[in-house]
Amino acid sequence: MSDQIDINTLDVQDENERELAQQIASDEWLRVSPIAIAYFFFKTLYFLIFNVLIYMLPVFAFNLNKLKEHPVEFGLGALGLMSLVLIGSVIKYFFYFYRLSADRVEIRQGMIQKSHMDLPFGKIQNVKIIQPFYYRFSNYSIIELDTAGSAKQEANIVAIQLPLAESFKQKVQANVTDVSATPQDASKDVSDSHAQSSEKSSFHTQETLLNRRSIKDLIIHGVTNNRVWIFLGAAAPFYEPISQNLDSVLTAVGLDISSYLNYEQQSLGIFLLHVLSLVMIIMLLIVIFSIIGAIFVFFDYRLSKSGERYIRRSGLLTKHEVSMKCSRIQRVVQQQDWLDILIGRVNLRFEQNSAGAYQGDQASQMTSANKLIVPSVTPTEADALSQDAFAFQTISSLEYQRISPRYILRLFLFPCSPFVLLAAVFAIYQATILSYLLGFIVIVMLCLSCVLAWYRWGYYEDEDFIYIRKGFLGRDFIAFPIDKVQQTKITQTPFMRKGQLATLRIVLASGGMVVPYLPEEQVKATVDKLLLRVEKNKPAWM
Amino acid sequence: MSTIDDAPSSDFSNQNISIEDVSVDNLTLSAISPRYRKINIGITLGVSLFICAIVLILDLDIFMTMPEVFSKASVFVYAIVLPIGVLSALYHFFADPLIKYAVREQDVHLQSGLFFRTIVSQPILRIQHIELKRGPIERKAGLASLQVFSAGGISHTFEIPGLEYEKAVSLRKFIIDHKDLSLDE
Repeated sequence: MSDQIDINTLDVQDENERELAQQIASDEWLRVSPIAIAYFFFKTLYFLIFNVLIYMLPVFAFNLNKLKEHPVEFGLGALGLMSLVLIGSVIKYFFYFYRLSADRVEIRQGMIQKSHMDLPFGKIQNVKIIQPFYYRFSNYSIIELDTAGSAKQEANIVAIQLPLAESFKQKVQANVTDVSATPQDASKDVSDSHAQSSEKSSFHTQETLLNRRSIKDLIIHGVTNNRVWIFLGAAAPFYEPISQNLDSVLTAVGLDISSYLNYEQQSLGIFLLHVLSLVMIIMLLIVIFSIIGAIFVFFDYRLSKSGERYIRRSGLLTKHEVSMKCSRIQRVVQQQDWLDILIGRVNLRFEQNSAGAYQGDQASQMTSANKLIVPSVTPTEADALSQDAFAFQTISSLEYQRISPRYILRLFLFPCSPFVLLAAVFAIYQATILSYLLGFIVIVMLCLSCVLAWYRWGYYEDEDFIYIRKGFLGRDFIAFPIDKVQQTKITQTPFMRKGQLATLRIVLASGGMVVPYLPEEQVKATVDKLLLRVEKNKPAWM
Repeated sequence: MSTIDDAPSSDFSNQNISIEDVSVDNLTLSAISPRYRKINIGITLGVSLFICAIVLILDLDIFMTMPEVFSKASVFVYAIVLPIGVLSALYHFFADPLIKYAVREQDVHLQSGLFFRTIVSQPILRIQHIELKRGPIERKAGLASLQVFSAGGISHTFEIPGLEYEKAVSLRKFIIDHKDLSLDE
């Protein structure tokens, strides 16, 4: 506390601002309040409990009796651990400094691994003031600073007086143009009635409906995309009663599994037939569940556009509303599984900043605000919607440039060659006609896979956009504006050097993309073009 | 032709070049500190020898008697740990001198790799925040690593390892003082 000037705890705006101005002007490294020790202590404890101790629960459970016999030793051990954590927290406190200047925050910390972080105000997207329970009785709080690059990174000022934190927040937010629209805020669950009322009002504000999905579309979506996990996730609480009663239920409907699958009492042909039909039934069930899952999440799907925003509404029980600002879209993905290709459907995705991405189950990913999904549209609809977002060319019918056929050889050498070798050894070792035939088929299939994987790759570049096609059985079309590029990378192995080839990686705020085995000269020229565009025109990426 | 008036020092290449004829093909690259290689080789060999030494001490039954199986298993430990240590030391011997960086007016680059040769290019405009990291051994050797974060996420962090501390500090200053840093969102 010695470095900080005591201010009157009355919430006087001027005084706080003066204090903040003083801190900025002093340009000195400041120590936070010693109450930060509590922060470090609880944080370490929290980490220990949820990352270490929770995995040791079985060990404790097994040795419960021993623990009961030695309560003193156990207590001393726990106490020892706590003191270690406390000592660590005190050390952390002593090595933690921050410095405010006119345009940035600096944080210096660490005794063994020292780090010095620089955070320009202009890059701060969100300022959160947090007062954890152990700070409640004091006048202190934590300032949590989010930048687009710091999803998992620590950028906190760990103990600062609350009024000072408020003035700091105001100062930083004056620099931030659009704080309210972080990706997380954009997703919200709305109740049925609320959705209806907002729907009515939003039509007044000139919302145009771009796409709807009918039940037929959702059934197609359920069949072509495995959405069974949504259903299984929702059914999770019932697993145990189901598995307990499965046998009796099946017997009740006249199916005795154990005699049905009795290997000893049946000929091989009948047995295989039984196994096959069971597999078919299971597959059918999976498809049905998948359809239910798809309807569950995408029921009454509507994609509309209101001003500069896409709004997506869907859901059977919980209505989800996700809105995404057009300028935040980083890339557009048209995804097709092999079944989609056969029946001519596309899953369209608008992807935005992935820092701070949802790491939830499939259902929450479907509704996540980072990816706006339009399920199972036709290729024409997909192209039209993509072109609504950006001035793309028709993504699915471009003359894509093929990557070098050397890539087939590379896939064959790795990862295929071990399997080819295995198949060959098996065939020769068994030395029967059947084994030769099997080995031959496996090797041919592997070779064909290499060719197919190469065949799917495609690259196209125009003035403003880059288009990538890739896949194996299915295929993805990815398209994005050059203006969104964050970073580039060129990679070359000795094998690629021989063919004067290189792999291009382009990083956007929604993640990285790779195109392998393009001509080296072309890759370098593309990187130069991307860097020039970004650095010269300085386009905003969101 | 544009120049940067407040370029901190001559520590790094920062030529006055027209932005129209820049190419990643003709970057003026600077090497990182040669001490970085020494440290890496030292650590790799040190750690593997340390593991072997512990196994050896246990094997010699000085403090306690180990079961029969242990002496058989220990042979495998030597056979695995030592070659890995030597190989990775060899890798550092050849690969570390290839780590080079370049700083231009608008971007920073890192070239590296013995087998997988890579050039990563990071426009300064897209930098979100910067961190200078120093472990105990790096501090002893007067080195630091500079990490640059973009919106591309943690897995695409641009990092220049093994910089001399003063160079790292002035490079950080160059980036922090860059006018683009207050431009992009």
